Amino acid sequence: MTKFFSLLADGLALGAVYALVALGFVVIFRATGVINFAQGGLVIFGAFLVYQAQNTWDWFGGGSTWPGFISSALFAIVCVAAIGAAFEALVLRRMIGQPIFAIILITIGLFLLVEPITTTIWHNPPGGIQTPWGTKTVSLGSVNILQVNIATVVLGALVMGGFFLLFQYTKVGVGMRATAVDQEAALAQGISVRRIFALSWAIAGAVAVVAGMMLAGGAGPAPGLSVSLGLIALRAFPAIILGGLDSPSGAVVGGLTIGVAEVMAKGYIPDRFPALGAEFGDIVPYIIMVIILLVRPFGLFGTREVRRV
Amino acid sequence: MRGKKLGRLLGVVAAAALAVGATSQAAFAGGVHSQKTPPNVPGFNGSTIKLGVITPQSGIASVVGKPLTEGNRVYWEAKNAKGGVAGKYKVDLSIQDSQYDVATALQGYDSIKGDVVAFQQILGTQIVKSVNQRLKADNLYGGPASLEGVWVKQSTLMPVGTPYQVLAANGLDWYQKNGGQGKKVCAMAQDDAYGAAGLDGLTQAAKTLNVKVAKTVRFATGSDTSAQVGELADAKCDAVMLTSLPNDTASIVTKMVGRNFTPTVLGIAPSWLGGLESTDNGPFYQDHYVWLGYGAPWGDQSIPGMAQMLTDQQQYAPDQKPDQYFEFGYGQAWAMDQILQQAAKNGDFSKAGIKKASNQVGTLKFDGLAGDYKYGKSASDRNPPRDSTIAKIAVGQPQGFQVVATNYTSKAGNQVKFTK
Amino acid sequence: MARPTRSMIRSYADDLRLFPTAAKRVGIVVLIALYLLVPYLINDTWASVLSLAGIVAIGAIGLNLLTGYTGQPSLGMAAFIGLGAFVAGYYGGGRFADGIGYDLNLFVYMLIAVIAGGAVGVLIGLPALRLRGNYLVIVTLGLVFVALYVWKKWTTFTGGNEGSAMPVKANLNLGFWSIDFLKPTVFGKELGSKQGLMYLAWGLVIVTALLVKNIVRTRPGRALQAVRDRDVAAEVVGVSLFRYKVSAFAISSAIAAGAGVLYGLYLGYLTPDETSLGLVLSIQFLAVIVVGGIGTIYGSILGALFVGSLPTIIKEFVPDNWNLPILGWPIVTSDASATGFSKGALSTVIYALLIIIFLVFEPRGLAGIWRRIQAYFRTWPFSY
Repeated sequence: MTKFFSLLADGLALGAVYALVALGFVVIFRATGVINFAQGGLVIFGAFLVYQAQNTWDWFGGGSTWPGFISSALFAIVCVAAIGAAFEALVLRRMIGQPIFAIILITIGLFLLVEPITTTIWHNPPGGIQTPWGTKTVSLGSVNILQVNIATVVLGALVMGGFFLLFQYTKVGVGMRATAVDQEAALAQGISVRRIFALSWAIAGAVAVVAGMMLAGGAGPAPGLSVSLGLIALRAFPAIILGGLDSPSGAVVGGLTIGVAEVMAKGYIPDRFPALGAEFGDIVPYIIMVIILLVRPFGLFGTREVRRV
Repeated sequence: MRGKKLGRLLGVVAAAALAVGATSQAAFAGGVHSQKTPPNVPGFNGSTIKLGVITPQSGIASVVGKPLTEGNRVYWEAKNAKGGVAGKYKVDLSIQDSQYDVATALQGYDSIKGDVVAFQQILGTQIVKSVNQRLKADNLYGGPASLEGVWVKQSTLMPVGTPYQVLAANGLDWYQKNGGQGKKVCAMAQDDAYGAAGLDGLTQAAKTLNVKVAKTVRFATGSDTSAQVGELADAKCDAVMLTSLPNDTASIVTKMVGRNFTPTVLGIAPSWLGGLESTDNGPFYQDHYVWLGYGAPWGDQSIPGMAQMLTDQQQYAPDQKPDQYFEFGYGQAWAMDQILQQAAKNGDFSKAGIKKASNQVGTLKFDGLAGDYKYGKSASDRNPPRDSTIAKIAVGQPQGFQVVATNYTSKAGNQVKFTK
Repeated sequence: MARPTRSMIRSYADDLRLFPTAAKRVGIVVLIALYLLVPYLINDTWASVLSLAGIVAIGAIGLNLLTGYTGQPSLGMAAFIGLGAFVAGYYGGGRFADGIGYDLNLFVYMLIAVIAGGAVGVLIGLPALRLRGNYLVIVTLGLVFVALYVWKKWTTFTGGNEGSAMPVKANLNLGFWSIDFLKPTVFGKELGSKQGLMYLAWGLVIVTALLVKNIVRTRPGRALQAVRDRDVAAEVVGVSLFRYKVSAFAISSAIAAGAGVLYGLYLGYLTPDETSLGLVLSIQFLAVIVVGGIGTIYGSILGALFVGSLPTIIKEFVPDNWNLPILGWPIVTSDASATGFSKGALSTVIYALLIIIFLVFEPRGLAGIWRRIQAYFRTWPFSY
């Protein structure tokens, strides 16, 4: 039973990272109807900017102190949010009305830009970035958990809660929902669709920084500080599919489900089916995704698309 | 000052005497060509030898490719300043950026294959395998930049250094003799050819030493490894042989810390990157990580090969930080130098001439920088060095290494076999 | 009655002509002459670039049928390329590099690969029937990872992590005439393997282009485009979605697997990992059809030539060190420790920017530019 609970804790930690990345996808999809393949690129960029503030500039004694951690995070959030909004305003705005596939490919283009730029500027530094939690752990019964993993789950919950408040109670949030339903009608109601689009990208950028910071700080798959951070976004796709592309709570449920499923598969499959190996766990998210899509083509929580002739 | 000058003069005289000796010896053995300049062939114009380098200079793998190529470059610049191969032929490197992409690497190969005598460096397992097919078809020769055992018997390749399999075997032996007797040994390896090489060495050594490998887990690079680490923790492993790359090492160690799981981690050479010792996981590395590498520890002036490398590095790459890949690149260029010298002696820098030289050179020697490599009469005769360097981790040391054993050999390491 | 001009379309028959104008027919002759001559004269650098471009062009034409004409975006190309390559390795004798093995003829292992590709394409096409747009992109993305897993585990077929050697011969034996494309002798001159591969690849580009052109200019092609533009409407007017979507997947996958055979021959050795069969490869095919022009066949060919030769053009013609004029910022540098792009990083940046720029400013790609040039000269001296 200890094994089960340990795996569950690991799965939730992984799932929390997936959920954070997935929330970034959802906020853009809700407003613009497009999957942002560059979300992984924003995650990478965010992590490197945090590194820049923490290690190169050494703000407030680096990331292991709270002021250093929070100030570097805020710096990166502002930068990446600006980059996201600028990309939307300069590039994607010209693409409104083009086929979805073309817009997806543009975001892939943005993603491809990130690797050469980050490696040119930062030259692959070793190790990750610091967090106030470091490598401290807590014990819950017989299960040992990294504090940074708990922090990631909490942050994921906070971001989801923030989204809920934003969409439910603020004027901007209601505007976002209105735009998602019908852009022309929203315009007619005096909502600036342009501003909504740019804002969605800015929010997605900010969420990406949070995800990247926690990842490079030791949470979830913890690949350290490198461009392979971007891979996490590819692995988060099944989460948004599972939850439905336009549902923030779906993204969180989907992220956690996929995270737990992946870790459980890796933990139990090698014993029962040695031929498949633990690596089978890496493709379990995709297999779940295909099965879900065959039953419900718009995810568990997604809105059914109305097709007109 | 005077003493130094005198020393240098003596050195020159001695070198001249040696050269004369070598020439006259070759004149007896090699016939008419030896005193003349070898005929011009592609890549050799009578005074300059051109060597190809196919390596990632951009992208994520450049963290390996750049220092390795620096090592190549520094060796040859120093050599050229002393006159060059056999005292008269300068060497020029033609560097092709592979971006760690197979197709790009092959285009780089195709674009320079007609202008080089041989390839100094080819980096990346899949890339070496693809380029090797080309080398076979074009009858060319090249140096793979990794320690994979499959290179040993390939007549088109110039392997150097102790293979991964031997590193793993010596590591297991060292652990058995240093507190690991009767303890539970497990293995964790990435799911590719490099991981397979580590596991191969461990399996062979376990048979020789009559040790049981209690648990083996594999993982895909960049994926979440918490379940695999959990498996090892549940199996209560006392030691884990880790075949990974630095990013994954960092992530795996974080998982171990998270589980309060503190086995001895026996990491095969590429699993480490200098700088990890000062990250958050520093204390874990210092207490539990053992590096299984080979060759001279950086900075050890008592080893002549290392002293030579450091002198050259200070002159031609003063900013270079201690780096195992730089050391590998330097040794690799040194190996090529010995083969080119043999070819110069034969008076033949043609493709066939280089291969012939490779089979005549006998044993490649590195003055302690790396173990001697027996090349023998043909590729099937080759016997790689069987010695390891074993290090623990400490802050403030070059690359974080606190060396505990150099030239470590073992029965298990000596008995490792290389099939095909 | 005299025709006013050859370019005027007055009947369906006119519209369906493969080569409607005299200029086009002359163009075809010129292209065939180029096809025969260029590999014969070219150096190794460009033979390597152009043979790979040909291979990419074949795959891109197949993908264009699926994405450009049928509107089904796919990131799954790498999986089918891998399938074709491993079939070549297994049946072409490469798997047992030391002489034993099936050692079959090029024609045979190509046929096996194409059939296998088509069959797997049907399997993928069935679930894809329910999916569109964003969802389809992500499912086909998953396919790349699942395929890599399968290649790694299916050791008897692929060699597993060790990978497998590809055929060292590409024999085509027609009885009266035979050729080994990896060691061809043309007009008594022995050419290099890349030059031989150029003949093979571009020969198959012609075959594939004609095949796909014939599909899209006839009834099935119009049905596919109807599916792309409004699938529900298409179904209402009697186009079987099932039949056309699944066949589009099957044909495009079969073509991709065929391109995979050539890709295997080009690589010489294949191990299943991200550097050779990862997502980057899939993205490259999408980039080619976008830069070339979505929904045109010659666009795919132009795109493959352009994207394929871009890194070499940068390598050969951009100086090793180049600072921005006036400001003096280092843009290109050969110094590993300096800030500034290496040439390799620069070509990735330009490649990424090209994708973005083409989509924003020239969504019809190179084909669109070419068509404008054509129109300019056809109506010259009038501006339209």
